[in-house]
Formats: sequence, structure tokens, C-alpha cells
Amino acid sequence: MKISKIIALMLGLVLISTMLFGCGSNTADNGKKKVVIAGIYKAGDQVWFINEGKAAEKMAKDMGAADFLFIDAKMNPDTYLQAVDNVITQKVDGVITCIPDQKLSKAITDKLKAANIPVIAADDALQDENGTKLAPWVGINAYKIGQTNGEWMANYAMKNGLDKDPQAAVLILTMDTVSSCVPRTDGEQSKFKELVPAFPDNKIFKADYNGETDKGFSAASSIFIAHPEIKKWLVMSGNEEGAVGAVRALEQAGIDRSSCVIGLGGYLAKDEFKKDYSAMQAATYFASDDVGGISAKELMEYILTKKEIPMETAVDAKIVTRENYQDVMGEYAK
Amino acid sequence: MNGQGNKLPLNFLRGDNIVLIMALMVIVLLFSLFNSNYASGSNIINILVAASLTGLIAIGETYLIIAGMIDMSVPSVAAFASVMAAVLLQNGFGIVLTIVFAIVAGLMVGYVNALLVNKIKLQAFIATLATMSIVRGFAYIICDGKPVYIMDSTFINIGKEEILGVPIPVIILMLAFLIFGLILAKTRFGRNVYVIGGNKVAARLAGLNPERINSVLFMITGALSALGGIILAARMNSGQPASCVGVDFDAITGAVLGGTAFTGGTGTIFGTLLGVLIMQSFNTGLIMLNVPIFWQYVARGALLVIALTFDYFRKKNREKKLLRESMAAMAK
Repeated sequence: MKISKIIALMLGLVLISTMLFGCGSNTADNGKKKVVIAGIYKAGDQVWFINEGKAAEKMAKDMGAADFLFIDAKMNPDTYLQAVDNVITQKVDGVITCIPDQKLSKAITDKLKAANIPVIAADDALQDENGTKLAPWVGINAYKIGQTNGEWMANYAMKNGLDKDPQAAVLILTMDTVSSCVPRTDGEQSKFKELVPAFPDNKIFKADYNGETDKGFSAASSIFIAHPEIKKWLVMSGNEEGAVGAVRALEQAGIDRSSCVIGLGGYLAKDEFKKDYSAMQAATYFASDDVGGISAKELMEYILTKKEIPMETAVDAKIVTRENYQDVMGEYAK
Repeated sequence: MNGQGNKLPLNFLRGDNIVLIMALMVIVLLFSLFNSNYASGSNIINILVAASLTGLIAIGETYLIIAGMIDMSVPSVAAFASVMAAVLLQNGFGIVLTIVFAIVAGLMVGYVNALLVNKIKLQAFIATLATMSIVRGFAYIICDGKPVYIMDSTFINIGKEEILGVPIPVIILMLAFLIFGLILAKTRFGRNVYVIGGNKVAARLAGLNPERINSVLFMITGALSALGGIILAARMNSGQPASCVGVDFDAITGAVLGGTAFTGGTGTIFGTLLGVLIMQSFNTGLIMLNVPIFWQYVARGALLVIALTFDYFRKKNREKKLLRESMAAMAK
């Protein structure tokens, strides 16, 4: 058999098996309708959403759901809209979602309402331009997450005398092209300035990256080199990956021992804490399982018993450090 | 066909390259006016380190574009190799075996790409788009979607140690540019790459085997992408399945900026090095000057438009020159 035929056969088998495993009827063998939940997440390839999706799937299936469709919107509003249309066509029983662009909230809630599919927002709320929630929400307010980081960093600066040190500066690694991450860095900056009002504005630097470690590294590294007079950097970022990139950039610049980075999420910080030394000295930790599990639980209860879903369910965010991360994070510290 | 540089031992100071060197100097001068640290040694090293992944991939893309093809699977191969290296190290494999396995994985993806192009006659763009998705999927599968941390200090040193003040990633990058530049400019294989990119039918009539050359080129690109991924993993102390997105665009832009024509048959590795450096220097300068991110997009796009315009005029000049030469030959 020619190699081209073998390849064609293999591709055919992959397609057929994908279709067989991927498709199914929404009706169980006994004729009773199966509950199918769709989880549409803005970045399904990131650790946070992978864990959140797994927790939601486990909770939904424990409560009797037959299937949980995990869909990655790839940070793309267009892909997201297609995913929503797709789950409407599939007539799923409920949707858990983290939207890539909150400006789409009205369009999404209208579509799902018209299809009579209940929706619950996870992490980033479905809200109108005034901030009024259009659907129930589970998570932590992105702005408050940022404020938690900003508060910790402000206290660190004051405790170590960096608020008045001429060699100290703040770097905020922003993700301005990801609308749902903008409130995080806004919260970091506003809280830091609120608590350390005398900190000079011209010593608060910003550099943008796309959410990847390597890009965070490049952005941070460029700023460190542009300002060699600064020897003590206080770095906050839009996500955990950026924080790790900044840590590597500080190490390359040889100023990691005098600087401090705070992570956002804790899922990479835990490995930094395992090292003898890392400039990442803390991270805001919030359990993705809490958000995933609670969102699925509330949605399933509504589907099964019509129990009203509360409009807001806030999950606690905690600061983890080298000293307490194992206690706070439990099995996620491994 | 252009760019072989056979007349001088290292004929890299051709007209096009001089223009690129001048463009690079203008960028350095311009950004240095606004920030005196821009032209510092540490920033030059920073630019080169940041260019290490893009540069390695750009070498492979240059070869492929000259031969009339392209590889879109490179970001996934780099990400896969970074995760694979991290997983192997975590499972007790030695550094040498880890690096060998990761590079062999890159070679294998390149071989599959070549099979799809040579045997099923898929266009390179389409074939590598498919493998891009498959390989990215495997990158997630082998680590369950989670970044894999690397604790092996010897491996990490590949990403941060220096030899005579030059970081190892930069040394590897420069060696790769030198070796693959010489292969393209000085060997029969290199000349054959230009020939199949210039005219596949004529190449076949001349007794060349384009399929075999395609296979080697895809495998080189796969191996270089994997090497880039390994270096990235060492630099970041982790293998990350979601990394390297968009690095194909940067690498292709670097190659085009450096004078590699999308129509095939033209380009040099030295030009690509200059193209990658121009792009990285430009990006770093924009960050150092704190240019708002949305304007950075505009500036990068404008840089690409300038490069493509430059390429258009260069192509027209080449056509005119060829026409003049043909007319002169006919007159004789």
C-alpha cells in the first residue's frame, strides 16, 4: 500500500473516531432527556480555565448531568459567538461562561434567553455598560483581585521602606488588549496609589504583553534596561504567566534579590515557592474549583429543581506566600 | 534566482543588505535619541535573547519560502518541544537524551509535513495548518494542559548562562545563522533550494528531486523550531503548552523584511538575521519608550507595509535587470 493511502486511511480513521466519540443524542436509552451543560471559557487552554472546567464538569456529572461540553473561545469574540450559536443549536440545558469581551454581554444573554437556555457567568460577569449584571455571576471581581494585589504590594513597599526609596519603582505588566483583564491591573494601580499616595507617578511604569510568559519577559526586560537607575522593582501583572516572565527578567538583569513580584492566580507561584529563592514572593490565590464547582452546582439546581440562582456569588481570594501556600492551596500546591 | 553569493567568501554586503543594515542603524539611532540606554550592551543582549526563538524559526521559514513553501506548524512544534523537554526532565531523563528526543520530535513533525505536501499534494500552508492544530493538541495532552516546571539547574543554565558575556541562547542563534547561512550560500543543496523555488518544473528537468529537498527543508524547520522551544523552556524554567502563539508571523515577517520573496527563489539567511533584528529592535524600542500598546500594533503593521513595498520595488528592479540582460544577450 502506498504511503499516501496509509496517511489518507489514518486521517479518515481519526475523523470517524472523533465523530463517533464527539457526537451523541441528547436522549438517554430509557427515553428520559439527558442534561447537557456547556462551559464556554474565554481561554480554555489556560491552566485556570482547564481546572475550572474540570471542577464544573465533575460537579455537573455528580449531580446527574450526562455530558459537559468544554469549549475554548481562544480569547476571540468571534469564536465565542460561534460557540454560543453552536450550543444553542445543540439545545444544551444550561451554559456556564466566561466571556472574552464584556461588551458582548447583552447580545449573549439575549440569544440564550430567546433560546430558553439558562446561563451563569463565571469569573467575568455578563453585564451592561453601567456594570449592572445581566445574568447570575460566580467568581471574584476582577477589579477587587487587582486591589488585593495592589494592597499587598503597597504594604510590602511600606514595610521595607521602598515607598521612599529613590531606587525603587513599580512596574505593572498590563494586558490592555484583553478587556476582561484590564480591571485587574487598574485595581492594582489604584489600590497601590491609594495606600501609598506619595509614591511618585513617574516611578510607576507600564508595559503591555499578551498573557504569555515569554512576552511578559520581553516587556519587563525592556523596561528594566530602560531604567538602570532603578534597582528595586515592585512588579504586578495581569496574570500569573506575566509575573513569572518578570521574575525571569529580573534574574537576567541581576536585580531579583532586591525586587519583588506578586502573582495573580497562584498556579505558577507554587512552583516558584519551591525554589531556594524566587523574586515572586506572593500571589493572590483563588481556587478555580470553587468557581467551577459553584457555578455548575447553582446551574444544575436551577435546571433540576428550578431553585433560583443568586445574582452574585463571591469566592474568596487569599494571599499565598512561601510560608502558607501549602496550607491554603492544599492539593493544588503539589 | 538571487542571493547565493558565490563570488565572495561571505558576500553579505550586497545592496539589499546594506539598506537593511542602514535601516537597523536608523532604528537604533532613533530610539537612542529618546532613551540613552537603548544602545547599551545589556539592551543589545536583551534584543538578541528575545530574538532567539523567532530567529531560529525564521531560518527554517527562509529556506521554505525560498523553495516556494511555508510552515505554519512551527509555533506548535516549539511549544510541544518545550513541554516534552520539561516532562522528560521531570521523569528523570538526562539533559542530552531530553534534547535529542525533543529535536527528533521536531524532525518527525517536519517529516509528516513533507509527506502531506509530497504524497497527498496538499499545499504547504494547508498541510502545516493541520499539523499545527494536531501538534498543539498533543502539547496540551502530554501535560494535561498545565505548565510543567523545570527544576534541573543544568538545563536551566542553557537559558541563562553566558560564555564571554554572551548568553548561550544568543550563541546558539548566531551559530545557527552562520551554519545555515553557509549551507544556503555555499553548497549545492543551497543552490538547489533556490532552483526549486524559482521554477519547480525546470528544477525537475534539470534532474533535481524537489520532493526530497522539500522533506529536508521541513525537517530542518521542525528541528529548529524544537530547538527554539527547548531554549524557551530553559529560559522560562518551564514547558508551557500555550506558548509561542504568533511566533510564525514574527518569523515570516523577519524573513520578508530581510528580503525573502514570497514568490520563492530569492532570499538570504543574513538578510533574515537583519530582518529579525530590525523587528525585535523596533518592538523593544516601542516598549522602552512606553508607546501605548494599540499604537504599537499600528507601528508594527506599518513596518511590514514598508518592508513589502520595499520588496515590490526590489522585485521590479530585478525584472528590469533580467530584461536588460536578456535584451543584451539577444543583441549579441
